[in-house]
Amino acid sequence: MRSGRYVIPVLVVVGACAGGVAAGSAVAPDAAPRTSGDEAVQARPGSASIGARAPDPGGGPGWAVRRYSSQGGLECTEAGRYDGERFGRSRSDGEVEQQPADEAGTCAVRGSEPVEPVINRYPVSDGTDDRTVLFGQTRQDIDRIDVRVDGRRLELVPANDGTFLLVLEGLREPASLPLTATLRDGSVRRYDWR
Amino acid sequence: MTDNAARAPSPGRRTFATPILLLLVACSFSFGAITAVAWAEHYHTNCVPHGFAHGSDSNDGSFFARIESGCGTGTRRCALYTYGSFDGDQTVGGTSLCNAWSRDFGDYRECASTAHTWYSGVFSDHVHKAHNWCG
Repeated sequence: MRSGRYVIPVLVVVGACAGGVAAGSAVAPDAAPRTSGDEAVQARPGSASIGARAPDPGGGPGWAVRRYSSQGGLECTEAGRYDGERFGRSRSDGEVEQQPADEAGTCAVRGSEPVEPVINRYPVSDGTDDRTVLFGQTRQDIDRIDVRVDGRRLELVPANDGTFLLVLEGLREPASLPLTATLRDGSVRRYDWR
Repeated sequence: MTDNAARAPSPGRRTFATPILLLLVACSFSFGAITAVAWAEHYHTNCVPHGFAHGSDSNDGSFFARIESGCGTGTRRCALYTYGSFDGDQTVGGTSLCNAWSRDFGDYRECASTAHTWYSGVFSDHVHKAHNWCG
């Protein structure tokens, strides 16, 4: 009889602790990011946002970088067409087909490199001509990023979220687009794609 | 008496059948194991896991050429082909995972597709077929 008085409070305390553990596990990031398996690329719901944007050289919907955090704790970027509302690929009717953030990102441990550069090459299809798209994300200690295109040096200016984007006509060899990152301490990191 | 004796299995036949049965069991087991290993080759590990990633469904037209992170910061390229034609590719520097998605490039038949992967200084360019290959 007397011990029965404590059953409900004990149950309440245990239940609350379990709820707290579950909620904390869902919110708190893991200490060590998982770089392998589906969790490395699978988007964490609600984490996607649009960063750098650029027009398409041939007109039509522009391009953008979508950034998201993976369930494994990595930072991911993906390039796609963007009309201000929908992010995805261009259809033959000129509309953008929405592709939800899922597992198509290029993912890295946050801050492990000054720049995480990516080159996608899209052969001609219903919705687009041949395109080479250079994009990625930068660390905060980057001073500037330059890329050589057809013998000219172009500066890539990152968006506020650190993403950058350059859309070029044709299918270009990555080695023809060497990228140089200059850090604030004056050191230089080169990506020659070889 | 004579008929019954003729129908009864001889000791010699019994000793022949047992090894055959054991051999059949062993061969079947080996076939299953070898097939499983061969199919697993659509995605394997050479320093880092890489290859043809089917995603959640092997027939939905959504698949990847993928090289996971690790083993340095060399350039990695992952490309997709279907019926031998180039669909598109991705090249990464830094430490990023290389992840070329079929739907970024169009609509392709998954079982007729291949992932071509290359990691500078780690492994040379080689091909991974879909595990349900029909090309």
